[in-house]
Amino acid sequence: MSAGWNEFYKVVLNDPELISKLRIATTDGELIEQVVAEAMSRGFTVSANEVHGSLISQRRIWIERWIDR
Amino acid sequence: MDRQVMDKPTIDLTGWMPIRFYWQENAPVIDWIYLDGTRFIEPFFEQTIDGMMMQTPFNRLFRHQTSVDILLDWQSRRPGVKPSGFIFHLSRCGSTLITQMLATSDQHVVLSEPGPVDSVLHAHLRNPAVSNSERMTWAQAMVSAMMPAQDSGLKGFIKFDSWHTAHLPLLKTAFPDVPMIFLYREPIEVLISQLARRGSQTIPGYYTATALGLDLMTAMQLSAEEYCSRILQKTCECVLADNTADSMLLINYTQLPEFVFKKILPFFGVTLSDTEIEQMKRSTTRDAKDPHFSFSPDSARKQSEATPELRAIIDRLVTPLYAELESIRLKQQ
Repeated sequence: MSAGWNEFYKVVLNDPELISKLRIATTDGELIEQVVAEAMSRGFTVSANEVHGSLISQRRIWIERWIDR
Repeated sequence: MDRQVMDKPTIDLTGWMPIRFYWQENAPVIDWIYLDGTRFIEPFFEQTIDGMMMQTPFNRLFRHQTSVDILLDWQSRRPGVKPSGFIFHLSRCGSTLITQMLATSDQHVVLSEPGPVDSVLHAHLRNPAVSNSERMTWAQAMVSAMMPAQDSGLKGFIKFDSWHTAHLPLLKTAFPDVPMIFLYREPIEVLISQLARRGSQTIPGYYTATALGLDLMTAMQLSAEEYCSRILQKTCECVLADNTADSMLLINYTQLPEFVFKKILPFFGVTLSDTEIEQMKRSTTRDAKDPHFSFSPDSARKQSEATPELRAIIDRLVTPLYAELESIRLKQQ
């Protein structure tokens, strides 16, 4: 996770208005596009590849926790 | 990518719901997803969460991961409403029907068997260093975070897993003013249902075997019929211990759904409009666990499927406890 992505991730978690915008996305592709655009508009450098990588990684963590439960 | 767990108690978690309580290097961690007003209308908490994870890519990507200190801090800064009712049950006896009825009102937040509460109650089994006092404090904070805000005007309800009757002493101490009900049914009918489709608590595993005072190997050597019956036995014993049943409202499956209107709603302090009552009545015609199907009574079929061997096991282990519950219930009513 790059510093830019890490910082922007924290920004999203604490910004209800931004959350509302990003929650509208109905596919992974749409979300990735929006995240990259919103990050860029706030001065963060975030690549589509790393957002996609995070999505896959988070999905795996989610499944592993189900198995672990 | 596992995100860094946040431990600085300054996070605004408005709109976020705890969905997992788990362990990382012997420290409890809580996952939160953004639900902001999502209604819990599916039969079980996990179904609503899974739906939100599937439908909303945002929820798959963005989650708070916090320490338990953040949870405790959130409780002090944004206490949830005191729950209006806790629902305990023997399993397969209509408890989901009650939650589905309550969930028809948009004034109610009804959480049916939420996993994070289960994980907190079993925290000492994952980490023996966890004290009863910690479990109680964490349970209070977890329930607070899951309940609507105090200024929301909403009411909150939790249906516990059937095996949580083992935690009644802790829960009654943690939530002394919350009205609690226990729902049960002719045990042979519950057993027939469990044998047809086993609930996780009736499959030998570490938690349930421990609750029965058995080691896992011994538990796995018992027949399915014996193990299921012992789980039902334990569930009832926990309700009957220490006169606990006297302080709960006992309900027999045969009293549903009319008893919800007659006694349960007033017991939980719920008053509804005529429209809401009509909505609630309509919900009783659907199968509570699969609302796509109509409800059809199945007691006669279950009784007819009971073999003499099954009846012998149930009569040995559960029927005397059922009779005791019935005796207390009849005195209550």
